Amino acid sequence: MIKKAVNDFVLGMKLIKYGFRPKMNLGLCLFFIIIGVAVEIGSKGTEFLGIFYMLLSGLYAFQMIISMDISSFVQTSKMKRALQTSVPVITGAMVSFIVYTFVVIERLILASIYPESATAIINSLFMAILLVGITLLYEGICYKYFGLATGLMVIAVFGVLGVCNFLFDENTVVPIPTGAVVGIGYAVIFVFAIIAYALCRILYKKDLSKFAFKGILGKME
Amino acid sequence: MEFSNAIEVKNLTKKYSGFLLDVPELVIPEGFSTALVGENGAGKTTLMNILSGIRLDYKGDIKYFGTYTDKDRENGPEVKEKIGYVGSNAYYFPQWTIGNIKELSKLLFGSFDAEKFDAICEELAIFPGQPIDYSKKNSALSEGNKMKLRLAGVLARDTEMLILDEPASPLDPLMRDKLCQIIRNYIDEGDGKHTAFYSTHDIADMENVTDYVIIIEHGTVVEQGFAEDLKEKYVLVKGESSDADKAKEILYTMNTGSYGFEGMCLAENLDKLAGMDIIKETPTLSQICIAVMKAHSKLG
Repeated sequence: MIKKAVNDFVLGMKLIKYGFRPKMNLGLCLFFIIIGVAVEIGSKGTEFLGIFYMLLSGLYAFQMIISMDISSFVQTSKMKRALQTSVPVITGAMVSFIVYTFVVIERLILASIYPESATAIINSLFMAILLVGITLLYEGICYKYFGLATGLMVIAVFGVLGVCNFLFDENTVVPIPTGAVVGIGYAVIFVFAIIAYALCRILYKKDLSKFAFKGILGKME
Repeated sequence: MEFSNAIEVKNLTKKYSGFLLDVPELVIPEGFSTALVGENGAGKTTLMNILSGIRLDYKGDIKYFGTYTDKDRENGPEVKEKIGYVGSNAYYFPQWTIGNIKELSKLLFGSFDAEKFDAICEELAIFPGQPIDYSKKNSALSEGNKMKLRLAGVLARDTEMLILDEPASPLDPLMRDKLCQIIRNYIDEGDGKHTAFYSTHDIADMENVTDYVIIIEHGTVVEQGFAEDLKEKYVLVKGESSDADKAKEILYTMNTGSYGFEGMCLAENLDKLAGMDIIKETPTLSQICIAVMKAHSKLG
C-alpha cells in the first residue's frame, strides 16, 4: 500500500507538467506561498491565513493532475481511474504533508522566540489545518459537482472560522497542547485525504463537471 | 454471415436534459470496419464516448471482444489497452508539444511504440520533407494535422479495435483517401481480429472501406447491418411524375421534381410498384444512409 502510494506520488509529480496551463498554475501556487510567507513574517505566526495560503499548494497539485482528465486521450487510457482518484489525492496530500512539516517547524521556532504569543501561534495553526481538511473534502467533490462543493465549502469555512474565533478569542476552552495540534494536523491530512479518495471513488462514474472545467474546455474546442 | 462481435450492447441508456440515448441492442462485428452515421445531435459521440469508457454514468450492458464487461474495462488494463480511441475534440491539450504527446503516450499506454509513432508522423507528412519538430505545440498545428497526430498516436499502439469519432471531418480529400487505406490495412493486418468503428457525416468518402453500418437518429439505432445486406434490403427507384403519388405510398422515402421521382424502396415492397414505369438501381451506402436518416429525421 505504501509502495503504491509512493508510486502514485512519483507519477503525480511527473504528470503535473502536463496539466492544464502548468506555468500559470505553478505561478499562482508560488504566488500564494510567497503571500503566505509574507503574512507569516508580518504576523509573527499568529494568523492562520499565512499557513492556509502555503498549504493551498496541495490543492494546486491536485488540480493540475485532475485537469488532465478532461482530455479524452487521458480518459481512454487504462490509468483513467487512478488519474481521477488515487494519483491526484495522494500527490496533493503529500505536497500538503511536506508543506505542513515546514510550517510546523517554523511555528515551533516562532513559539520559542515569542513565548508570549505561543498560544496564538498554535491556535492559528489548528485553525489552518481544519481549513486544509475542508479543502481536501472539496477536492473529492468539486470536479463532479462544482456548485454543490463550492457552496458546502463556503459554509464549512465560515463555520470553522466562527467556531474557532469564538473558542480561541473568548478563551472558553483550555488551550490545546502544541504536540496535540501538530499531531492533529498530520491526522487531518491523512484522514481527510482518505475521505477525499473515497469520495473520488464513489463519484468516479459521474460525468466531470463542465462548469469546473469550463475554462479548459473553452481552450480545447 | 457468421461472425463474432468486438462489442455487444444491450439495453444501453444515457439521459441528458432534453436527450435520451436508448439503444436496446447493438453489435459491432469483429474483423470489419463499421461506420456510425447520423444527424448532428443524434447521439454518435455520446455512444462512442460510452463505448470507449469516457462516459461512465449510463445504464446497460456492454461486452467487449466476447469476454470482457464494462466493469472489466474499468478494473483492468486489458480492454483499454486493446482499444485505440481518437476523439474529435478535447483530445490533446493545446499546450502539449509533440514531444509531450509522445512522452505521455508512453506513460499512459503500455504498447505505445515511439519509433512507430515517428514513422507514422512521417508517413502522414505532418512535417512534409522536414524532421519532426517535437517542440511544436498541438495548438500550432492545422486541424488536419491535429487529426493526423491523433491517428499517429493511436496507430503506434498494439490495439485490436479503433474507435474514431469523425476522423475524416478535418481532413482534405487526399488524406481522407489515405485514412480509408489506413483503416483497410489495419483490418487486413489483424487477420480477423482487428475492428474499426468510426463515425462520419460523409459516408460517401468512407464507402469503399465500410463493411457494416449503424444509423442512429434521435438517440436510437434505426438501422444496422452489413453494407451488402443493406444494398439488397433497399432498392433505388426512379419513375415518371405521373406515378409519383401512387409510388409515394409505397416508397420508403421519395424526392420529386420536374423530371419525375426518385426514391428508396424496401425490396420486399417492390412488387407493389408493378405496372409503373420505373428504373431499379442498387443504391450506394450514402443513398441508403440519407434515406434512412430522412425517414426518421425531424428536419422540415
